[in-house]
Amino acid sequence: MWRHILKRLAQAIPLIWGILTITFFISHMAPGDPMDMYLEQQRQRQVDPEIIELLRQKYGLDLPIHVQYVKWLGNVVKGDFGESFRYRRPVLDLIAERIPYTLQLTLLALLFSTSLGIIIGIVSAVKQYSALDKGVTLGSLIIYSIPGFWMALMLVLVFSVYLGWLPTSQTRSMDYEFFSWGQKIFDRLWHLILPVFVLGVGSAAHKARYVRNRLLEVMNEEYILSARARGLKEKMVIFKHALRNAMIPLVTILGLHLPALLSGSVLIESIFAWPGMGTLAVGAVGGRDYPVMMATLMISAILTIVGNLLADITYVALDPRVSYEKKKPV
Amino acid sequence: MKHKVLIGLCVGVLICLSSTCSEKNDKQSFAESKITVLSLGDERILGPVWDSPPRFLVFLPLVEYSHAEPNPALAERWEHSSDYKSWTFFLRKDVKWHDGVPTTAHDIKFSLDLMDRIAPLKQNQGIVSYEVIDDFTFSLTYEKPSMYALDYWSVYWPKHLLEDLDPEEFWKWEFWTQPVGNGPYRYVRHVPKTMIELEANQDYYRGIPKIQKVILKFGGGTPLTELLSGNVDVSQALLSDVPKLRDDPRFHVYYKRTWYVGTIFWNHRFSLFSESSIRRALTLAINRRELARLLYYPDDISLFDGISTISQYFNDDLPEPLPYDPQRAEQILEDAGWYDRDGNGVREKGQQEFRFTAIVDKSIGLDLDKAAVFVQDQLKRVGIRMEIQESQGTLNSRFRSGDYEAVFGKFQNSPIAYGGHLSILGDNSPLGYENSEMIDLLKQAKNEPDFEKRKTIFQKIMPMYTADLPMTILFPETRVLIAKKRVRGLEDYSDPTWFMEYLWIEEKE
Amino acid sequence: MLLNVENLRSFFFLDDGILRAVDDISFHVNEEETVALVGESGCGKTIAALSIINLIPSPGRVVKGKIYFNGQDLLKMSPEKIRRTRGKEIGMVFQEPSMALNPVFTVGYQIAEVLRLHMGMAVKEAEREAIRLLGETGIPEPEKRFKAYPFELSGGMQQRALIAMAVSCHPRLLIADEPTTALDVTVQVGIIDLLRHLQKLYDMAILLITHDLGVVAEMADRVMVMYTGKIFETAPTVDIFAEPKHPYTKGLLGSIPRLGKGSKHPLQGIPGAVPDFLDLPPGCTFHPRCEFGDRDCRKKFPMLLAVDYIRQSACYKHYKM
Repeated sequence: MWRHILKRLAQAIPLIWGILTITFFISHMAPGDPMDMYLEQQRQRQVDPEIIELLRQKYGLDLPIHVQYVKWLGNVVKGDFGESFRYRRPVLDLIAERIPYTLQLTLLALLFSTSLGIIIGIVSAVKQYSALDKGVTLGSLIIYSIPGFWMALMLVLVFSVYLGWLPTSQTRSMDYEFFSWGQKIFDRLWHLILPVFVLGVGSAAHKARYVRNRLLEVMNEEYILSARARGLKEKMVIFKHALRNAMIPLVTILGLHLPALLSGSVLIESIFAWPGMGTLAVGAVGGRDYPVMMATLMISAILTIVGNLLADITYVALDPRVSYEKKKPV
Repeated sequence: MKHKVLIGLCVGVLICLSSTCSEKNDKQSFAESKITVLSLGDERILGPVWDSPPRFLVFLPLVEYSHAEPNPALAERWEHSSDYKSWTFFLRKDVKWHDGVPTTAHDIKFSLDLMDRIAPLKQNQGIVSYEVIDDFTFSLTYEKPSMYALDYWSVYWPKHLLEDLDPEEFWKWEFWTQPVGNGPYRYVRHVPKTMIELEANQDYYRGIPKIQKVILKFGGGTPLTELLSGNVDVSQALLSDVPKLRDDPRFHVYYKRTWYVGTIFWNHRFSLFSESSIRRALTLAINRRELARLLYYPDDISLFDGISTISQYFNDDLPEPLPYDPQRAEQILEDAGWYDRDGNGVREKGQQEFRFTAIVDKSIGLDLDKAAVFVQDQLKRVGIRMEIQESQGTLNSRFRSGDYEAVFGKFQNSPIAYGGHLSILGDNSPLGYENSEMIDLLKQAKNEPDFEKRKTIFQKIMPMYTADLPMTILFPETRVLIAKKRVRGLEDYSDPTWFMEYLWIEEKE
Repeated sequence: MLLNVENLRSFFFLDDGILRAVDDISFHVNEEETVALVGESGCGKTIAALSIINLIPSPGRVVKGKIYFNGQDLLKMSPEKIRRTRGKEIGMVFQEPSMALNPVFTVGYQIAEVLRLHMGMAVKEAEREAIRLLGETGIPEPEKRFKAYPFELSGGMQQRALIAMAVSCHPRLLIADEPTTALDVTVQVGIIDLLRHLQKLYDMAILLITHDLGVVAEMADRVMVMYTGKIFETAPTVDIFAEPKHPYTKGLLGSIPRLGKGSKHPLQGIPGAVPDFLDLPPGCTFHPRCEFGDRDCRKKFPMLLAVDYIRQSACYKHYKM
């Protein structure tokens, strides 16, 4: 097992290097100039072309691209991702600041969508073809076809603007610092409700369909009949014997979710003024903020690979038939 | 197994929550007049990170601009050598940091030294040297004649609070999120990623600001919902948001023009656009007033065909635009030999049809993609076929090398800015336009620090521009500020945080 | 009588029509007796067995009939009560042990689960008992196998584990649905021996469902032959083999290879194929394949009637045999 993991990780290094190299060249050769963005930011300011040249030199943008690449790679290996052109701060600082916010949002959304998806999936599988099942099917179809940003705006309009039950945006209340510990946690969760809901509900609908179909498949297996013939309670049959088998493929899906956990969602983040990775990464691409762009990309690449590996490992934990050690049948 | 995963997830979320929690003091004061402004950025907005107007709430620049004229701020007066290379600033003696320590020339030197040390802040403006002459006198020497000394974007930091801190830890200094300044407002508290609360500086040298308490609420993505829910008093918004709020009795909409103008750049090297008469015909064929209306610009937006001195940008006395006159446009085209003989709706001359491709720079906003579709239709009516090609990245290098037929882009309508007049009309013009007399005058204007003299130069440039009409200016970029009606004084200022001390709240009876 | 099935009908309600998988069958199983329900695949015998424990898969259900087990009608029991009967009073062994064991739980866990549920045993106690049962069903190193996942065991081991599970609560009746079919011939003998051993040990009755007359000969006291959802013949095992009283039974017997006698009796199959349940021939459903089939047979399905004092046959022509 450990050997397998180490082997996979070792294989990942050249893969990540390859991804980064390709994107480095593509992004640096693509049209657009980080200095344009710099000017954009200084819109009221009178900047001399010579200053722009000096800045170019400072960031090494005047060097031939392969020299830039070697310098960049050397720094990355040393753990130095450089400074953001746009925020003029160290890239790692920026990312470290944003990751917790993104994780709050994405982990809760994952928890929400997975638990809701599983519950609804089970209910509609157990009550197959009932009004509830049909309603859920229709509901998930509707939710699935509503654009996320539109749903977010409508929910904000209803629950925040008109009803005033939930905050319109952001992560905390204005008087957050005067709150007690409990109030603080409550306040943070209160601010998370809408973004987590919007981020998770589509995926919950998807997972519900998936779980339902998988569960129906599994319920036809002979070991379910056998479990019933042993007199097991229906609850045990469904939640233990059927669900565990039905869940295994879901783990793969969850593993593939991992990169999305850290890359965040631009739409949701911008609508809810959530200071996460999504807006950072997209802003970096738009502004040709190469250091931020490459760092966020590297995180995504690493997480995709780790996610796949993690899915494999969990698979082993859940499904004893899959194993990396050679076991002989007795 | 599953329980462990669940518990792990919960713990993870809690850790993430708590890592962004921070404890703060428990001071809270209730001011009589309070304003909440929706801002971009986060609690570092007052620090060295963003070149953002909110910094001027807390810190004083040397000079302040209003209507393009530098006005005294931290500097009471200034002098420059006749070649504009040496500048001397005489500081006010009554400006104090919010902790009571006077602001002196040493603070300015300290700040410049500090910026020099911190790589991303280092800005080589061609400064050769700077020195403290006495506690309240400071001088700068430039390599070349320069106006940068009057650059109102720099602010200065208190030496006595920062000199003992480790510059290695510069980005981690608490000072940047809890600054002590010398401006009209002082920092009270902040909630991370949420807001900063400021209160009026009772010792402000110009007198106590009228608005007692300012809250900068972060998150610029959603001005509409923030305004509608009453969370903020003032916010920037999109032009397209205006119709949704215009009729709401709570709000007033302010339009603020910027330096930028949305423009069609014709490539003069391309045979179709080499003649100024044709460029004139193209300009006459476009109903720019209608276009502005379609893009939600206000009805009274000023349109023009000309380039501005800085003061014109503020005074709105730019030359009148060519009218919308498609008949005249067609007349000009026919005089130049462009007829639609085969009746396919496109004019031709000899074997050549009047067809071209316009590249639209989508990355710079301004709704240029929509403008292009409108222009396409307008030109079709006079027998000209324009194809639209969209570009996602900024077009700069392609534009500069002249590899295009026409481009929908923007430029800074300023004689002195990078990306200003000279970048479009100067040497190696991306338009392929060469008018050496105009280039000389533009260069003179750029280096002319005196506004009146600059104006006379522009009086010479303007007829040349009108005669050649090197490009078609569509509309000036316009920003929208939406504020509750009770916030007053906003008419004159493009950013409320910039000139907060001049605003006031008018309470309803 | 431990089990008495009267006029059982289990139908499947399909879009194409009603599939009469079990159509009016009656039989009984006495205490400690082994009764075999024999027939080709798809004759309804498995559905008959599942009807007893009320586990016919949807869209099938028991339409009519009475199933007395220990004097109580299983069909009138509450779902909860019949659930408690399953596994505890009536154990069941399936044809394909690798499919009937849940792949993601250890064998030991699945046995212990039954013990905890029906016998109210504590975790440790159930574990000890499960290990003992594994040992008793002839699995070597039961402590080790307790922790094994089904895929780690061979087919024979899996079937032993499944049997251990089925007998763990000392049921009065064990339904064994093709318990040896999926196994190698060498393993089959062991399983048959095991079932016989356990039957004596626990005083169980066994309802053996099989198409394998060899297994029937080894184990059963009495045989019921089933075809197209109906019982065609019932008789003590010895008599059926010696003198079948139904042409179908005779056909079945003719199709088993016999060692030593092969030269005298050439191996014969039954001509034709098992008919489609949704399109059964009129009258006796076997008549198109039957050597004696004539016009009489088309009219009405023959009743299962006593041929002599120990056997019954549903054939108009049984006297010809």
